[in-house]
Amino acid sequence: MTFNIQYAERQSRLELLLRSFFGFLYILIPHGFLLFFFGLWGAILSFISWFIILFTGRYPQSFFEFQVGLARWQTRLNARVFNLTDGYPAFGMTHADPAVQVDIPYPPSLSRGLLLAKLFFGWLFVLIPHGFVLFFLAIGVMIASFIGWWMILFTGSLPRGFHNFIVGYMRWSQRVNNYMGNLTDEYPPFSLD
Amino acid sequence: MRTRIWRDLLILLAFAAAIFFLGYWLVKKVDWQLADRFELGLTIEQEKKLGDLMKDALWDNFDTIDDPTIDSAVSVITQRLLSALDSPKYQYNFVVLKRDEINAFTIPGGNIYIFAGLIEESESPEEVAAVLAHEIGHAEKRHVVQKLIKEFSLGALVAILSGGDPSVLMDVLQQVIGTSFDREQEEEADDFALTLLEQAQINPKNLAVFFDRLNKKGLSYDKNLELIMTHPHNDKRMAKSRGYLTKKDFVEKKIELDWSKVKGALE
Amino acid sequence: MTHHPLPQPDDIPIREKEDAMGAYLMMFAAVAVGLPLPVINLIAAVIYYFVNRKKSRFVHFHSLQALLSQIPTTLINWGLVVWALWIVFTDLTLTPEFWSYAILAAVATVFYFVVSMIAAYKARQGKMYYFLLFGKLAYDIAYRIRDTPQSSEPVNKPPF
Repeated sequence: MTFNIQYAERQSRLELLLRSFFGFLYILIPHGFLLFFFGLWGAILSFISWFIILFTGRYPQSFFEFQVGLARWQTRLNARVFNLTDGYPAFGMTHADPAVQVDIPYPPSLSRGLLLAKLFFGWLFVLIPHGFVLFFLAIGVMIASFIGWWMILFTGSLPRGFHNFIVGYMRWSQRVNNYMGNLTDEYPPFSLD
Repeated sequence: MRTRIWRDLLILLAFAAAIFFLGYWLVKKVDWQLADRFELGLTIEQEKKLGDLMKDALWDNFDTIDDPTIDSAVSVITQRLLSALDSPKYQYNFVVLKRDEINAFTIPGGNIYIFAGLIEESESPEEVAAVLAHEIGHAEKRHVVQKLIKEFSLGALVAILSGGDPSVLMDVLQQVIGTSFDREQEEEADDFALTLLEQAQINPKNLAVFFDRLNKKGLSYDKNLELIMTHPHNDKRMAKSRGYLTKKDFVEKKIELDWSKVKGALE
Repeated sequence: MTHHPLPQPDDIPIREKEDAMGAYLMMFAAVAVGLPLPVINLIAAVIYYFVNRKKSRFVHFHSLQALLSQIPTTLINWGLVVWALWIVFTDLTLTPEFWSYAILAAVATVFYFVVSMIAAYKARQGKMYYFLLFGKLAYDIAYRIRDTPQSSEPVNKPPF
């Protein structure tokens, strides 16, 4: 999976302030509203795809592309929420944001055994180990985000290290979601890269 | 192609109708005893209230016998039965009506009415006890309410409880007295009676003895016995009572009553 | 020729076969979302239809057939829900008519489920599978050749 958010050399302080104080209204509400419904459709497709994988061993390609588009959209939104990049996030499944790049390769076949294993034991061999680490990483992300906000305000850019850390966290979570959502059979590595 | 579409539509509708009517037949014909299966029947409290309303209607239409000899005799018999009953659903009320019919009936709420003719025809208090045990069986198993809910809807019964419209009440009363219970209910009441009689130390065979005698008299199809015919006691049921095997430690205890004196008090 | 020619299973790409199969699985949308309301299945089927009808005639046919057959099933089940609520809140009479209607709804749903699963399987194989009544309607709508309007006169003209 390719998951990259381009590092912003300079960020607009004005946009930062605008986003922080009014972002809820002009970014989160419109996107959140639409993503709710698209997300619901995605949940339905995901549920049905579970059974389709069980019977045919394949994730239907158009359903898969829908999920990827959804992930891309959410990442686009998150990039602004975490102040990683400027600009208003575009709507839609098919838009290609130059700064945000999310690509999940289509798996030609998926293992049925693994599907069942994830259902019955996923909590044990995926959610607990990764969840444990991600919990602490999330705290780190919150701290980094907070400090980062002040850094952007004073220096005009987020330190590269912070950027990489936050993106790494997002990448890791996305990998775990991909695995549990049956978009891939590859076990998510314990790595930020 | 148009016509084929209409033909397909008609076939689908025909199937739907067939399933609906098949289901209807299935539901109507088989007695699912819905009132018991789903808790949408009357509660015991509601049943008692309905019984009270019907009692008032009965007072208006029938004369009761208030003779102390008869009252105490009935009391002795019923006490024997009720003491053998563990956790009865109702506080039972027994009333003797001044009529020649050989019958007894139960109305909702544990009110049991005995026609004087029944006492007249019996040859021992044990026989009366047997018939009363059978009626108590109908009450404990809530057969009366079941029967009423089948004939009248639950909504109508609830309406009576709130309104007490006398004409509707008479319909219901007639239903209760006049119509019979179905075979399953009669057998259930029989089984209950036989067990209760044994527990009360009364010989269960008395049930068969009494109805056997009536059956023999029934050949003349006397007007008196017309009502008893709505309680069909066919041979199978009498055989069951006669063939009932009491437990090894069963000790029969006769009811201490001067029965000829009791019957004499009916004059 | 009134209708477009039907593609054969080998001519249909796997993507289309999967999309066609997906149409019949929209009846589980209510379960997926978590609300046992019959109308959610119908909404999902409608959305699926509008999203997928442009893809190919084969997918269009199956999406439409799934949608059309979902409509009466939803209506029957919805009727049952309404009647049951009516009984609970007003009448309290479980009439034999209610039970026979409930039996009809149950039979219809089971039948619809079985037939849809067969259709999903056939669609995945690239085969056409025709429901009673709905098959013919869906085929007609999806495959009918429609005349493209040929206008000799341009509609838009300059003001001068």
